[in-house]
Amino acid sequence: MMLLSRFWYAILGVALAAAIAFVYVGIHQHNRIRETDTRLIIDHDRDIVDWYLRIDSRRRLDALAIVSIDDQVRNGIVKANAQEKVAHEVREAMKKRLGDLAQKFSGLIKDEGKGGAVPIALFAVDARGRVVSHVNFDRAGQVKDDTFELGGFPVVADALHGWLRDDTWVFDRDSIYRVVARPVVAAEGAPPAGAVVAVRRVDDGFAKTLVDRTEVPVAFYVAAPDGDAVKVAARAVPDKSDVSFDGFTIEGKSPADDKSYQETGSSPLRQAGPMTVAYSRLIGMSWESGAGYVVARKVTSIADPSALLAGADESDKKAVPMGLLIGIALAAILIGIGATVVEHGMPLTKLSREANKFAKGQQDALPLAKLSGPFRKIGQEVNEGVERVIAKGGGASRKAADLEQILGPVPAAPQMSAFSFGLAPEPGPAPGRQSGPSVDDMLANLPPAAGAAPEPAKPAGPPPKPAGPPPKPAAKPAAPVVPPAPAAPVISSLVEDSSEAEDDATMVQKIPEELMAAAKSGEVRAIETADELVQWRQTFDEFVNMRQKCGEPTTGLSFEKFQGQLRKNKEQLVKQYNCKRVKFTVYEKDGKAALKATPIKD
Amino acid sequence: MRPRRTLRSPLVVALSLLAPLALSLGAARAGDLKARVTGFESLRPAALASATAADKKLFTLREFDPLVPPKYTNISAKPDKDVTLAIYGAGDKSGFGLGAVIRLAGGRAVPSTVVIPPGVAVFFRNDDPFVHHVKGPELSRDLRPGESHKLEPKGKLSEFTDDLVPSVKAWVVVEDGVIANRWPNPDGSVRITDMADAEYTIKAFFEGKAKTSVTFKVPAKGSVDLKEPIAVAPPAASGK
Repeated sequence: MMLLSRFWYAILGVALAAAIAFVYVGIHQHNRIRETDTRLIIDHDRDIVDWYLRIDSRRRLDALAIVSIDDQVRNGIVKANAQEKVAHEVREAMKKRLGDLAQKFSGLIKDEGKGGAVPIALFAVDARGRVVSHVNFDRAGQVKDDTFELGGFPVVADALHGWLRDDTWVFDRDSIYRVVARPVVAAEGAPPAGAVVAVRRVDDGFAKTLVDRTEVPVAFYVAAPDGDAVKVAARAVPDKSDVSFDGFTIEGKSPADDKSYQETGSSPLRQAGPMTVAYSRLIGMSWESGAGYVVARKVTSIADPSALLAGADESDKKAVPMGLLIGIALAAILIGIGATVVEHGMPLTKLSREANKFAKGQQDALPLAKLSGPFRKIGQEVNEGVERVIAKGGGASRKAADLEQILGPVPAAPQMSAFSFGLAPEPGPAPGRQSGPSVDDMLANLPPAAGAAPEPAKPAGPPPKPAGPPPKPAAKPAAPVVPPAPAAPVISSLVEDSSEAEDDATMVQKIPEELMAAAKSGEVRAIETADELVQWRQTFDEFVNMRQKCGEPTTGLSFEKFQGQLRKNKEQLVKQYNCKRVKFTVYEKDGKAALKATPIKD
Repeated sequence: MRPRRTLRSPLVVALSLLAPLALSLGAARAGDLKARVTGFESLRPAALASATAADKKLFTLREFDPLVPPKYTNISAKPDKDVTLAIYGAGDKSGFGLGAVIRLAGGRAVPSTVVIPPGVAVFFRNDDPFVHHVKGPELSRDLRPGESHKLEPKGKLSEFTDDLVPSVKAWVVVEDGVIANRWPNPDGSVRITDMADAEYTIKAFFEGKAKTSVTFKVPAKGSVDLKEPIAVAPPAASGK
């Protein structure tokens, strides 16, 4: 009953739940893969920064060649070597030249700094390690020219011995400098006359240049070995990155406390707020001074399904197969509508059509066989209502014998069960037959006791009266009041000959002629009450057995109610047909137990 | 906590430096000493460890300039900074004036070693444009640019390092009988003037350790020219 539409609703419900489940699984899968990828990306970021710094050193060393081979610089260094105290004139002349070279140097490596200030500091160092001259050094104000030396730094000492080298310095626990140095050769086959040094402070501009070329969010920090805090020296992130170093702090000395970081220079991945980060030590003197860099990525996870659309851009939305989805939706709608039409619309239309016929008098009741599902129940209840109205108005009831009148309350049973007993109306007439009258109809249509020829049953009418004097009592008791087995079909056939015979009602057989004659002759014998009860008891047992045989429920059936109803029916039939007795027999009809009533006039 | 004793006045520092010059090695000034320190090319300062660094943690790039002959690429000690000549003989510790001075300049200690008699102070002075954090026996403090710190070493040998600038390393040796410290010229030559006529011993120190010693006598008139060099180490074979 309505299985199709209900099943469709179940499919839709399950499909919706499955779709939501898929969304959650997809989100979790996305987040998991994203996290794994982020870890790989961070590892790659670390390598990228490391290689960038190496390449950057090479580029700066190459650019520094324009300084080391500059005649003016070389001559100034040679002069300084010969002086116990470097002459002021030498310093000033070289300073101007170094300024020009710093500008050119900056352009060569495309490191032009912010605000037009040249970020490259250049130093000319003599063979003793003294700074002959320098430009753009942000700490120049803290040192006197006469005591300014750089020869003790390994990178400068190496350059003074003919080596090209890079290094990273850390000053004041918060400033990082990238340094390259190369020797100045004044004569072939001679030791270096001095060295030139290029220093670039690692500031936000340096970090920005790095980020522009690598797309790696990076921050440089100093975790001085004797310090109590980590200071961020520079930071930068790509323009469209979701990473931000604003307010970024490194708690305590967390990088330095890590064993892996101390030994290999690289920390494991860590979580810093919403970001996943990795720390690396900067190669150079900074290795011991505590400088390093941190790369960071933010794992873009999807918190819940509602965040799916929020994070989608136009390309994501364009990736949705709208045609397929619309097709699926339309198919689902059509299937749902079809199921509703088949299971609701069409039966309702049929009910409406039959009700219309019923209203026009084209039929006496709603044909239940043509109705299905809940509409059959509705039709049945309408029919019963009509019967009750007719009965109240005094009209002849078309209703078959009420089972409950006979048997008392009947257990609830599904529609189409064998509770009809053959007494309840069938869903529809058998092929070639019309709906027959009820028991009452048949009782009313029984021929008069005088044994008149059978007549078609009438809906209502006064019971026929005996045509003559009461029959004489028989000399001896009459034959058994219950006709022999073959008699039943005979009586049934009499009833069935009637155009309004009803199979489903309790059958009232025609009274045999001989019985009617005997009745007229007065050969009537009273039936002992005890015998009648015995017979009814036997009928009850047969009825119960028949119901059990037919698989019908028997709970609630009691002999008291049973015999009470039989008595009522008997009295009614006796009054109607002026008979002495009524014989009730049990038989099976269409797999259900049924009762047949036979008036006996002897 | 030991109170810090800081000398900020350049005048005081200058006096401490000039004191050994103003005070002669001996009461009677007579001759000069000429000598030569050799073998310093073979000495490799620990502060320049990058020259032998194998783990490559100190640089990403280090290669020699093809224009420089290999024999000059040897990373070696600077005689005027790394080799200290401690002079023993006639005289007293007054030759040290207010004390010995170790400058922190150019990312290193100059000189890297001082040898003083007991009771003589050592001054650490920061000539660099950045902060040093000197650390050693009874000392651990920041020295800002221009600041000095006075210290009287208690042990025979004290080593000082810098937490912020690892290339800074200094040694203070305390020995009886030391009357003065002198340093060779960058080329290793030594010339000490106005020495009183007496017998002296010179010990050459490198990184707190005496490498060699030589004893000589300065005559009443004339100079002493040591024929044998003061060899602090065998000559270097090749550059590294």
